[in-house]
Amino acid sequence: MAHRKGLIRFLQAICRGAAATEIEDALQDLWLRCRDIDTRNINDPKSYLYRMAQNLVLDRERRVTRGLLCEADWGYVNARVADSVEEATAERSLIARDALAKIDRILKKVGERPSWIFRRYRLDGVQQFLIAAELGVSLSTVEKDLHKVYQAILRIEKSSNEE
Amino acid sequence: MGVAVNDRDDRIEAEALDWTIRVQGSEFAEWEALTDWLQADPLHADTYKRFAVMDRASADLVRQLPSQSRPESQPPVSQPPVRQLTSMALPGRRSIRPYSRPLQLMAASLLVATVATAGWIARTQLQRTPDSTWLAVSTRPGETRSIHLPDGSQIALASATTMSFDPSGRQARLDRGRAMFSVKHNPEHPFSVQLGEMTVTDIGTVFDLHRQGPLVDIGVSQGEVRVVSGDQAVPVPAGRSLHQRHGVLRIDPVDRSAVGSWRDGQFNYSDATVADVVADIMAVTGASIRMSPEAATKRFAGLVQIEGDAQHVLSTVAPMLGVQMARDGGTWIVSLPPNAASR
Repeated sequence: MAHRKGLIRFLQAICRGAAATEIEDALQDLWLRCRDIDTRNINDPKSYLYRMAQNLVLDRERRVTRGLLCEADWGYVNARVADSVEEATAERSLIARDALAKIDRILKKVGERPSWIFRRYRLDGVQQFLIAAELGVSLSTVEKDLHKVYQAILRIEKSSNEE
Repeated sequence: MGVAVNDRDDRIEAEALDWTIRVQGSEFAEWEALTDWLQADPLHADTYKRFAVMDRASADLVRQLPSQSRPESQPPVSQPPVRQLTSMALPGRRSIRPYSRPLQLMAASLLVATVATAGWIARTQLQRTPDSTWLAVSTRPGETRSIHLPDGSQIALASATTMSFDPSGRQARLDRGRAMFSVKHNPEHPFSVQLGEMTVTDIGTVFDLHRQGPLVDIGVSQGEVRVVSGDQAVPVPAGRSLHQRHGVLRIDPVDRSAVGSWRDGQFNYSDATVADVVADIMAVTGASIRMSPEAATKRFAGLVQIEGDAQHVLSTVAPMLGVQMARDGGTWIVSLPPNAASR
């Protein structure tokens, strides 16, 4: 792996305080998952690796925060409803539906254009300058709108944590 | 808690938010810088992770929501639009010439494809993004637009022009119209534009591309481009233009300051037809113009000023083209005068 050194540094930085063995485990995990990927199909193998490393770290952390967080919700549900699978599923879909309604409200509140820009950027992977060209607005408008959406999402998460 | 701590929290949150947004960009590559920032303060990593989890969860959720249609675009830029674009860094432009001088100038567009060379291009060929995800940037008649790329390169789109891009911005296509490029050359990732079957790649250049049906014009003002069309690979240096119609490629000298002069309302034609000129008139004025077959195929070379409304443009241009015009409701009709000798 050409990017091994950088990835180790990154993992150490993001998992601050993690033991060397934990970092090694994460790298092994990463290696296993990437082994079968055909790198010719990936535009930027380096970023692909880093993103996967970041996601692995986030998966491992047991973050029990309420609000929008699906992974956390799932972990929360798992922790609380240990044996009852049906109940867990029902509760999970309740939480998911609630979270969906919440995010829908947020998007409606920030407005049509910021909402569309968020999807274009985050889901469609369109570069900001191209979103600007597509809409016929300035790059700073796109930047501000994106910021607006992220701030709104953050505020909900924050207030949920304080409940 | 003192004020200082809150300021620090605010600063860290602002920085973490900035990183979170940037990391999600499809072209993000600053992983080392992110690592440095994460290491600088324990709170950096904690805040970043909190935001990253939130971002991933909300993206998953938004994906499940019904899709949204694009909000209404801004109204077109009002006339005279081309003036806004002259701030682009270009070699010194001469003042506008009187358009009665018949100059052999080609305001060609640049299409260069050096498929054979850079590995980057080969790589993009392998990872061809499905056409359905490309986004189109179109200008209306009379409207011009400027696209600023992150590396400082600029693309100026003329009226009635459509360019398409893959979402990451790596691949570009000129579908129709004119576009002037001022590209910051990057040897590792040369900028490439598709024009039909032709590909144009920059070698650190300022160049103009024109595509109208089978007609392709490429003019180079600064630097050089490489054009690949079929099995022909042609370098086009500054001061030269490449012209293609129906598969035949031709290189001619061009006045460097005349390249992209459409931005000042000047259109240069060599080996063109009346139909080509009328296409540009329709693009700039938005007028509806029909031509008789004889008028459409009549050959023309020269410098034409296309600015203002259709009435004004046609009345000044018609004598130059050797055609006459008439009005039929909302449409102009262009035809040859009764006694015109064929040329």
